[in-house]
Amino acid sequence: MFIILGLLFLLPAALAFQLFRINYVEGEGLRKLWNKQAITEISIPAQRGNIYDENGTLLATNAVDYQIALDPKIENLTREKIVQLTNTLGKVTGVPGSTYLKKVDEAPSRSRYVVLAKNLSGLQKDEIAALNIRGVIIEEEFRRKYTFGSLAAHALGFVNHNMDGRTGIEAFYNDELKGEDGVRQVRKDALNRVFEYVGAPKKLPRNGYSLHTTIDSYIQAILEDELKAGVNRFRANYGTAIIMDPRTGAIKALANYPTYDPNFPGKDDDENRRNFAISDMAEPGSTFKLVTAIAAVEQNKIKDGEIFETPESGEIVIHGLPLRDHDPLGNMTFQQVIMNSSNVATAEIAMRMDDDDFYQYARNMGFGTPTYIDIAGEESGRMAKPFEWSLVSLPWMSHGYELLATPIQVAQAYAAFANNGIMMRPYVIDHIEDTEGNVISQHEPVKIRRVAKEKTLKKLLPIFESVVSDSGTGEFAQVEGLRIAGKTGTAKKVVNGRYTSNYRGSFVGFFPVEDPKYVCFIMLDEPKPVGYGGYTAGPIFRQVATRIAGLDDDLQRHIIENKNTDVQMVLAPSFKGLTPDMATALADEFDLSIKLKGKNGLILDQQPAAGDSILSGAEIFLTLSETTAPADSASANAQLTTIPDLDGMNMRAATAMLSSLGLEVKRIGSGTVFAQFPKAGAAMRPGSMVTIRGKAKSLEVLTQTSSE
Amino acid sequence: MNNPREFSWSVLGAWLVLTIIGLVAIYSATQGPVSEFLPVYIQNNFLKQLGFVILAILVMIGVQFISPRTFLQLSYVFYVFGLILMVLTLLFGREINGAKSWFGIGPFGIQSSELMKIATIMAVANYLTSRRNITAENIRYALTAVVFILIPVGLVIAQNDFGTAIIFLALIPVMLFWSGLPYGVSLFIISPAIILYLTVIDWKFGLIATIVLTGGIFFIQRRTWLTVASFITGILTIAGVQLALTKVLQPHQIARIMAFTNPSFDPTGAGWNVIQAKTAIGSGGFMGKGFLEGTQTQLRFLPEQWTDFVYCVIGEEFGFIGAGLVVITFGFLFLRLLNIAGNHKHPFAQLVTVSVTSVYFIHFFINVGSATALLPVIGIPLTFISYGGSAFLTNTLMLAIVLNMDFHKREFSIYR
Repeated sequence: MFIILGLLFLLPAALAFQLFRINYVEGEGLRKLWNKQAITEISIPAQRGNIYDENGTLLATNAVDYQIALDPKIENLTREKIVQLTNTLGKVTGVPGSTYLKKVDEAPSRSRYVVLAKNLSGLQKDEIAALNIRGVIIEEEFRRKYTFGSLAAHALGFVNHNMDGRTGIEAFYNDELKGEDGVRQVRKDALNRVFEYVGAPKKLPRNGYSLHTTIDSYIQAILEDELKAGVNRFRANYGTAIIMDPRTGAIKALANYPTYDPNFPGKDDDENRRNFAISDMAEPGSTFKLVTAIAAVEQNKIKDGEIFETPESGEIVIHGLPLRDHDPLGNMTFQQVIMNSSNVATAEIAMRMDDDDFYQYARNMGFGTPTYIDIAGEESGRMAKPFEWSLVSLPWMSHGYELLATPIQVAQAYAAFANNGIMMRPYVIDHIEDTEGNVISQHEPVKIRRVAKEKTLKKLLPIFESVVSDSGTGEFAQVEGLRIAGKTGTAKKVVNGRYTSNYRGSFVGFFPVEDPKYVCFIMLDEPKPVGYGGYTAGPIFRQVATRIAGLDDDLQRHIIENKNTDVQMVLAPSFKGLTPDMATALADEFDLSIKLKGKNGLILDQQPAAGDSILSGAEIFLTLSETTAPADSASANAQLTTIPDLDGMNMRAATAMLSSLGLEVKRIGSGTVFAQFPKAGAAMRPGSMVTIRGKAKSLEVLTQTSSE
Repeated sequence: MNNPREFSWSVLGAWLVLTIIGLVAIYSATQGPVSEFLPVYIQNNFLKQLGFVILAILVMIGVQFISPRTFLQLSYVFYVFGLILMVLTLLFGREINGAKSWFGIGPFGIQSSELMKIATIMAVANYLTSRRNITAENIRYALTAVVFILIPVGLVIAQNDFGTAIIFLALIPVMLFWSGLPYGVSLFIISPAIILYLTVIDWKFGLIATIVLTGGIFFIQRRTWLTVASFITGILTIAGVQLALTKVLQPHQIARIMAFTNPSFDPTGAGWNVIQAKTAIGSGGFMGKGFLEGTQTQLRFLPEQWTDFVYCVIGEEFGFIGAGLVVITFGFLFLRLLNIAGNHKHPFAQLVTVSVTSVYFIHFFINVGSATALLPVIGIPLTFISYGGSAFLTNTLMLAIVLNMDFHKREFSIYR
């Protein structure tokens, strides 16, 4: 009997032992588990920083939305209360209340969390909260709000569901914008719901810093507007455009079209979200001739007044590969080479240079390396090193092939040109502020290097300015009263390793030439029906520049002054064969001053050459023959006028010149003089009729439509 | 009237201690911060329990004025009355938590199976003590007694209340053994339970237990047929368990058994209760987290914390000391009751006392064993501590009867 009783006592002993075991042997682990499930840390989310434009306009901020859910199984929740809730919801959202009631009824019978409405505003939420119905679950939802929708979408980028930046500034400055989450200890119940807060927050959140960008939303809007219009008008695949300040490298605007709305980044195609402006690597085409021009001038590969001859077919063969111009261009000065964008002549100039020298110039101009702009997703471009080059690499590179450049690189190169040869690093964030408005960091413009001597650029400036003239390829980029220098670019697209007959047309230019404030790059992919950059990107540039000028008081004043005084680029008239008196009269007509070298005779030579673009008011050096003029010639000169060479001048200038010589002018057509009668050098009596024929501009219409 | 000093005050004291601990634990489990998660009818449990405690005190006092012979004389009447009540429950009863064991009028319900416990104990005690010489050969009486118990077992199972059925079944070896059933046969009767328990953990343990028990029975009884029967029963138990685990039982039932042997097997499902119960007790530490401070309890990690897992509430909020106090108090109560049983001259009183003690003991052992993961989770309340009005009332009634027979033991006739 007692054995049995003793055995029975083993059972409570076993219990006591188990109790002991749980407390002391397993205790540590169980306490840990308990800690883990009972006290947890939740983060107090930090507010993501705002993004502002240059003028302090809010571009990106955070918005709070409310979500309404219902626990239909909660105690004392009557049908009337549910109906009251759904009706109120219907009232505030404008959706019939029955829709919400249906959601409640159709929820799985055991569901204790039925989401009824999302994205409610604070006011709407307050109305629901005022009902004070138990079982209504109101949850805050933070989301990124881009104030102007798609404005500057590509520069700003967008965030993912975790509020982490995926592209653009949002990604590049994610750490600054994000701030640091705080930590709070909470107890959670068995259903993982926060039950209570334990004490004060362990760590307060530090809200993200605000970014003040260099983007000017007005200019951005203009650029987007015009780019969109251009892409649609020319039925391009896409377009991209950049405006930057050459003096600092500040990006004023950056646009791509088609675009997307960063508020709802998933809604549009992936391709729309691509920031072509910094990531589209492609052969730049003729805009790259800037590098060739700078290299050739600095290396003294161009003689003064040198004439470049191109064959009548407009085509040469270099090491077996044919190279052609868009049209046969005949004989050209260096200025005309750039103005008319002659590939043949450019290649010939380049081939006078050493591969390594040319490479060095291209490299100095920023090609082949990223610009390190502070927007995520930049590509570096590609440029092969000289030892990898083939025999045709140099001539083809000279006009922008055999290398890949991004739009921002081209813009940066021209900005350096505009900034007297100092290349600035492009940037988009001017300064960063914390929530109290203290400046955390201020961007100081970064000088990268000097890319060319000032002297070289002084020489090239009028040449590139002449591109944007009636006779240049950039004629449709002209803005009256605004001096613009730039270059067109038309590059054949490579598809599957072959050049196709599809083009990418671009234009890059800066203005005002006197003190460049804006560099603007425009590029269209496969514009139709004509691919040329001058015809497609040019008009867009023109519109953009015109509208920016309308915004910019300085520019506005500048244009008005220019218009009043008519200070403009003029083409140097030909003084050859004139007497000093006649030359003076002609110079007065053109608002030029002359400086004579020698005392007697007729004018033998002039510098700059006839047809060159010069500033009105500039001085022209004239060399006299010094020979005593033959009597007959003198007498003839008294009565006869030598007809100057008018070829290539614009009609207005030619008319003025002829009038100044006392000749009557008959004009046929308009634009650039391509034919004249009598020929240059013929002697005519004053009062005689000279007929000049202007080259018909088949695309004259374009400029008119684009200026509407 | 007897000398009040002969009343067993210490037992009453132990009862009071346990009752108070129970009220504190139930308060904490239903009225503390946890009440936020609980429906109103459960929040009311504390007040209901308090009402039953007051009622139980009245019963305790009232019963003391009854002559102990009344119990002897009315035992069969009680038994039949209890059976009728159970059948009525089965027909018209209310179903709570899957068990149709509530018979009630209006908001007040009573578990007829609880009342049946004391009725069965008294009836079987009366029957067995009026017979003599239950031996291994003459087990006809024993089998009759088993039938007495199996009838309510069948009804309880029909009510879908397996926990209570276990209590009834456990009475069989206890009562028979106490009435003189040979050791070997008693051991044979309880051997399937032991083998079953060990087989669930691992069938090899079950096999070892079968061999050891069979050997024990052979040495004690020296009966070949009993030994063979014992061995066959053991093997059949092992085979049955294996078959049940692999073929018969539903996946969720298997999962519950698996959870017992290895709680981390399914920590959010079947193992949840075991892990949370252990965590509650283990995290309480030596001194506990303090009244209403237990996070396991107050954050509703524990299931059924006012009944089946009430011990975890005590363990968490009052620590090792509180949990130990419960064990010690129960131990004291059991020893005192066995002592009382030993002092009885009358076998009926003796057998009723022992049976009541064993009912308490089984409740205590299974409940605390479940809470401390010594046993699989079997939903059985902890005597005097768990919430449950009718259980508390009938447990107190049983104690009152035991105390009454102790108090009035002189009134028993030596001659039956």
